[in-house]
Amino acid sequence: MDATILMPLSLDEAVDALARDPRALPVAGGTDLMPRVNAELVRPSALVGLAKVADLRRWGYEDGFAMLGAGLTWARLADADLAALVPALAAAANEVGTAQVRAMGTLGGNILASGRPADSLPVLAALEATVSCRSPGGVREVAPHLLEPRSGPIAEQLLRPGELITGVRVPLLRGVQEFVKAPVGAGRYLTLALVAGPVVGDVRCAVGGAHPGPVRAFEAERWLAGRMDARSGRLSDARDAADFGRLVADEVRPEAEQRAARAHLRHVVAVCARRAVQRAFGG
Amino acid sequence: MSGPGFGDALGGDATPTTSYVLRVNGEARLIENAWIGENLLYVLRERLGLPGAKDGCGQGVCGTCTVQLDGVAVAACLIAAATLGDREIRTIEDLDNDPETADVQRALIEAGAVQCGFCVPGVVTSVCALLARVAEPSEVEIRRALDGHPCRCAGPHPMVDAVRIAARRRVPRQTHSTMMFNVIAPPTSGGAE
Repeated sequence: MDATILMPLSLDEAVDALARDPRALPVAGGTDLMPRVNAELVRPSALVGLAKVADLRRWGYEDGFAMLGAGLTWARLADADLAALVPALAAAANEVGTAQVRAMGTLGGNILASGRPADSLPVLAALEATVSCRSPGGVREVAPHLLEPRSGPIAEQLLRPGELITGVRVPLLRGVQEFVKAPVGAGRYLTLALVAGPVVGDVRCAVGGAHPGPVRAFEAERWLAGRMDARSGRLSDARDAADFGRLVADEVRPEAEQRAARAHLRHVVAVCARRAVQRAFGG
Repeated sequence: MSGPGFGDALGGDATPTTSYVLRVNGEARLIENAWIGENLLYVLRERLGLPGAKDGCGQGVCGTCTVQLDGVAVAACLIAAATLGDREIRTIEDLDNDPETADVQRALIEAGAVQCGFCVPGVVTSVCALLARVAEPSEVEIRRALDGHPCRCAGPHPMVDAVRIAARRRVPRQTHSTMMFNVIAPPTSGGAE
């Protein structure tokens, strides 16, 4: 058995393989790694193929939480059963790439994807989900919404060297979940995940693609929660959606090199937030 | 567009290689001493002599490299061939043996979806995977299944029409009387004892 390709059969074997060779790259779907390999930007010295690790593709319930394996593909996350559990993640899955990419790309791979994370991470931040990072020493749970989205690549904050993402733990929430995605040029996207429970008076909103990590708009969330009628679950005023959009944009402040681009991104964030609220509350 | 065969050309540092078995079109094929970063498209075209899937963008955008992996349409250029394990690959060369594929090809021509033709093997592969999964797909299902085939000659609409034509021909239309017949005497119930 040569050591340049390893095909572990279990999670333990997979993390052992990654621990033995720190330069080895884990490969699940390959949709994030292979474009860089094809473009000669990455030359892997060893690969750990995850195709035979069945535990990565499992999902189930655990007291009020959905446990989703990191190896679940976008196509699987968009299926009706998982869409009923975590609607915002299914909505994000439906907007990813092409059918061929959705068939191969996985949740875990997307969490660590190069570039500004815009698909799964804002949803996980809005749902206050945790990511399970496993190493031979044990499992560490990391909450993406508690990291520092503006300070650097989120994957480096999330995962320590030698760790493997094995799954996410998503709270099953009542209320509506919305996901809005907007292309902003040069292959870049801005996304916004909104979770609103009119019954419990709770609003959570996270923006992806604006910074190296997903950014929560805590003040705007509190403002919108205050505008909700606890009994009917409606907003006090038809203009609340647009006002919420402006508040989110002010708080998130998307980054771009040029001032005009920053202004444009701010506008896009405001529109995404307004549309999410309009879809969630009607009007 | 360069394939990943640049491994040999770059030289210098040692290129990590491996040997493995790929299940392609119902046969086990041995791949020997191949660079570990080779994508499935390169292996199919350059090592196994199956040039049906085309090398377009190398980034998983154009859909010309589409093959079926366990019956699902995937982009071969985004797959690290050495990490596939025992998953079953089917290319357009093998799909071409199915009579259903000829129906899809004819429907694409009739609908005017074939112009320069470069993307067509990928489109046929995707359509065959879709029709094997859903006998009569809705327009939304068709458009979602084909969203990875940005055809710049004919545009997407003739492709959608073609899938409808192929699906209609494939599914024998159930008339009221055949449905009633099935309810009263299911064809599998056997004869009189």
